[in-house]
Amino acid sequence: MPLWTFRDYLDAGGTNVIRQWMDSDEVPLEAAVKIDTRILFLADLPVWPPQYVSAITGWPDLLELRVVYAGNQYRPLGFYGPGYEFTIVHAAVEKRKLPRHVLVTATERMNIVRSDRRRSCAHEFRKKSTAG
Amino acid sequence: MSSVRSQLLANFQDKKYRDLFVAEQIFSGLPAKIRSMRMRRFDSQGAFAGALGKRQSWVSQLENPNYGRLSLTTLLEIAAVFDVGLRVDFVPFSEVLDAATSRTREWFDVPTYKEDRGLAEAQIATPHGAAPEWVEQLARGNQPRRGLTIVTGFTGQAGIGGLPMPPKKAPQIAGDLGITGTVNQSASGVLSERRYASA
Repeated sequence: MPLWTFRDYLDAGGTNVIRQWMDSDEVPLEAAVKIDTRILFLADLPVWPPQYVSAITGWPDLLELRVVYAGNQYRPLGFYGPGYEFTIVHAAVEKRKLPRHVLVTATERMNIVRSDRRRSCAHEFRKKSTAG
Repeated sequence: MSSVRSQLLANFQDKKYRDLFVAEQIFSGLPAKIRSMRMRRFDSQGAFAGALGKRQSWVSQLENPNYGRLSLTTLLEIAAVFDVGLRVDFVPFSEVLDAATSRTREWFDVPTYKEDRGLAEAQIATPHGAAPEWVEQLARGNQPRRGLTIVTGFTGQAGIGGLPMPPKKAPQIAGDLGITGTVNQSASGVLSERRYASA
């Protein structure tokens, strides 16, 4: 049984926007598999290494998974809690500093999930193309 | 929602996905494992680097899951410094999937040779300590010296070279070796050790 549970943000219509992003053309399969695999490893690690997850300066509640593929940074953003949960609320492909609007959206979604847990679900590993 | 395993199994229908998944089990997993083992054994990346005869920046790369250039030679060098084994093997995808979905936190820190409880069965020792040359004789199928007393296991914290072994395994080992045995109990009635002497 993994120590940590990873969750994905759901929009108001119930769409898993994190899985949607991972299945989009913006994220090559190589990067999507890296994200899924990192989640599987992090789920079993009590303390996450900084090379895998890092805080975002100026946004104390948000953290990002650090995934690099072909020189691009794939940056799922999320927050801890409650307990051993980490909810991914937004994501971006950005080599440099994350734009403010991305972090604002992530914070808004974090607040939504904190007030309504139904706006998140267990991280979905299944790709859309293989969903039955 | 279906289990993680069944979701990944569905993704494995895509050959590219399963090939990438295999690669990431190595490149995403080993850096975390190296870091965990290094942190328990060394004070810093620099100290670990010194033991390897490398620079600290090299260790920093090793612990970065985005580095992705771990060579077999490097892994063997690391295994030697950590005093652990290294297994590189071709396996069915089902094994990859099982390993990825049944891992525990213990996976990240491998015991050293001296800490390895799994080796306790192979640790045959005299009451005064390990007798490696005698173990070697056994490995070659030779009979041990007549009359030699062998302590095969202790209960509690005591152990041979810090390697406690469940006493219930002792009779089986003794039987395999063709050695007759006796069981000694302490005054309190608690089984403290079993001694076996060659016939």
